This record gives sequence, C-alpha cells and structure tokens, in this order.
Amino acid sequence: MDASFARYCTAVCDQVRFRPDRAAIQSELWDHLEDHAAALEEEGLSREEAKAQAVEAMGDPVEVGKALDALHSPVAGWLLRVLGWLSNLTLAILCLAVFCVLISDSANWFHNFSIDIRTQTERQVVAHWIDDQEDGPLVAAGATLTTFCPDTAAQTEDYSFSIPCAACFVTEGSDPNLYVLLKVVHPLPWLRAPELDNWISAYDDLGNQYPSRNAVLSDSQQSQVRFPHVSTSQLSYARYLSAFVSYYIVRIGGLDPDAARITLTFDRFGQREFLLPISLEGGGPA
Amino acid sequence: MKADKNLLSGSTTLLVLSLLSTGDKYGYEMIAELDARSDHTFTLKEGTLYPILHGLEKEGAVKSYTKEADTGRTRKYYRITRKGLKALEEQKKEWVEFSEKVNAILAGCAPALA
Repeated sequence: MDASFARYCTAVCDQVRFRPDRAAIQSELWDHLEDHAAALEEEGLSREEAKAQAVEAMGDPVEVGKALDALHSPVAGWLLRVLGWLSNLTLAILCLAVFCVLISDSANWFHNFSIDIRTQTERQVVAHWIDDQEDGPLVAAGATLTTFCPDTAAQTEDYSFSIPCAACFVTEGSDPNLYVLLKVVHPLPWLRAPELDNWISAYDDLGNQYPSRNAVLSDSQQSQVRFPHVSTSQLSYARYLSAFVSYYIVRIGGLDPDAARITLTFDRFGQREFLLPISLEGGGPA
Repeated sequence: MKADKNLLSGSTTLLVLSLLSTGDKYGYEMIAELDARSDHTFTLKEGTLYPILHGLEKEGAVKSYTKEADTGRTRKYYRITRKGLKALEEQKKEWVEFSEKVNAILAGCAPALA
C-alpha cells in the first residue's frame, strides 16, 4: 500500500460528505496515480520519485475534494438510493406474486409456496407414492400389492398425460383395485391442472365399463356395493406441486379379476380427448 | 511555454469532450493524450479532471463504465453521449467565434514593426 497515494485519496474523500460514493472516487484516483507513476517509471524515474511526482501532478486534494463534494450531494445521493431500493422492493414483490400464482394450486397454495419445487423429480414422486401405497390401509388390511410401470403416454392440444407408476391391490375374496399415478404436464403458464374427475372413465379388454365416480353417484345403481367405477383425486401433498406438472391418483375400483388390459379415457364435452392403455400383465417393475 | 491556468480553465470541458469524441477513455489516458496532443503545453492539475468528468456525467454528457484496460487492470472508462456530442459542437462553435474576435482585436492592436 502506497502511503502517499493513500494520503492523497483520503484527503480528497474527506471532503466528500456522501460516504457511499467515497470508495468509487478513491479507487478512480488511486488508479490514476498508479497509471501516472508507472508511466514515469518507464521514463526512467525511481519508484519513489515517480510516486511523489504523480501525487504532485494531481494538485490540491482539498480543492478537488470540495469540487467532487458539490457533485456528490448527500441529499440527491440518498434520495436516489432510496428510490432504487423502493423500485427493487416493488420488483421483488411482483416476482414473488407471480411465483406464488404459478405454483399455486386451488386452495392450498398458501401452505406450499415456500417448498422448493426444483428438487422434485418424477422418480422422487413415484418413490414416495409407492411408499405411501405400501404403508396404506389396503396393505394393512391384508391386500397383496403389485406395483408396475405401464409405460404409456398421451398428448392433447394443451396437456400431456403419462402414467409413471401403477399399483394393483388384490384382496382375497373381492375384486382387485387399481391405483394409477397419472402425471399431467401443462407447460402453458395460464393453464392450471385440468379437472379430471368428471371426465375420466375406463374400460377393459373384456368389455367392462368403468364410469367416472360422479356418473355413478348420479345413477340409480349407486347403492350397489362393488359397482366398478373410476375416481380421481389430485395428489395435493405440497412436495408434488409445481408450476407446470400435476399428479393425480386415479382409482379404478371393482376391477374384473380376469382383465388383462384397461384403457383410461378422458372424455370431455363428448369429445374423446385421449386414451391411455394400461397392460395389467406387462410393464417393467416400478 | 506553459499555458496560463485561467486561459485553460474555461475550455477544459471542451477539451475533455473533444478527447472523448474520438473514443472511450479512462482518466489517465485523457491526461496523457492531452499532454501529447498539446505538445506538453496544457498541464492542468490532474485531480481537477475528475470533478469535470463527474459533472459531465451528472449532466448526461458522458457515461461511465468499468472495463479491463490494455494494461490488464480494470479502469473506469468514460463514453461521450449524444447529448455530449451536441454540447461539444456548440462549445466548438463558441470557441471559434471567441478566438476569431480575440484575433481580430489582437490584429487591430498589433504594434507597427519599424
């Protein structure tokens, strides 16, 4: 550290009342002194002579400091800083609001917005879901659980659907229940997760129909205990939510034990939008 | 011959803007170029360059930014703005008019050489 440069810069900066600007002024003056001293050294002067001459060439530091102080007024300086902070704060609030809207999902967004959604990969979701099934009430009640990967996907205009994992519960003496983890990707930010419940139904390779739960409830046969049907619920655990991906659990109850293949259909407004065939015999292990 | 400090002070803004009109420069670079171009006639106190530059920046005639210089060190560079170029043109015109008038007076007062 060059004491003579430090003395000159300090003498200038002492005159500048707006302290936040002092560092930048000091650095600029110091660079100038360094450059000039280096040029003088190249001309053959010793380091000490060059430094002394560079400081001398700068002139009166108090005069320079006072002139700079007039240009770096504390009032204007602080006002600009406060305005800068306010605009940054406004921007941050706006960003946070947009972020909240993006990751929000129906009523429970408020609980979830602090969850780090980037760490949730499909593999993690599937692993967690399988754990949930293994610890679920059906297994506790004695059902045999088989999990598998149906490896099936469908695309509509706005959404893409896939089934990363399915779980089949077989209980002695009653029809199997199939639980399907349905992944829906909705890359357009203004689209939310679709309301599947009213529109999803299924049929199997033996010709059995599995209407949606709502259709069943409006039907006179609703009292029938083991009437085959499809019901959906959105996986609403905070960690499964993200801005562009939603997961659903689709339950196909009262499955025909002899069925080898079941096809999920998404039938909105009478237009069959997609078919997802699931082979109950094939598919790799989950 | 060293120039009278008072003669120079009024025109330093013009000189600084003129130096920047040929390209972006940092403080010492301007001093060195001024020194070379005036054949060591203009030797203003170097510290006074910075209030001039900061003042011009406040007026919007120049803008500053940080960049690595040819020497490898980081330096604060100044660039002339459109407003600065306009100011430079006006000041040049004023300077030419002023110097023509001074020359006219000096010509009128020239002592007759015997």
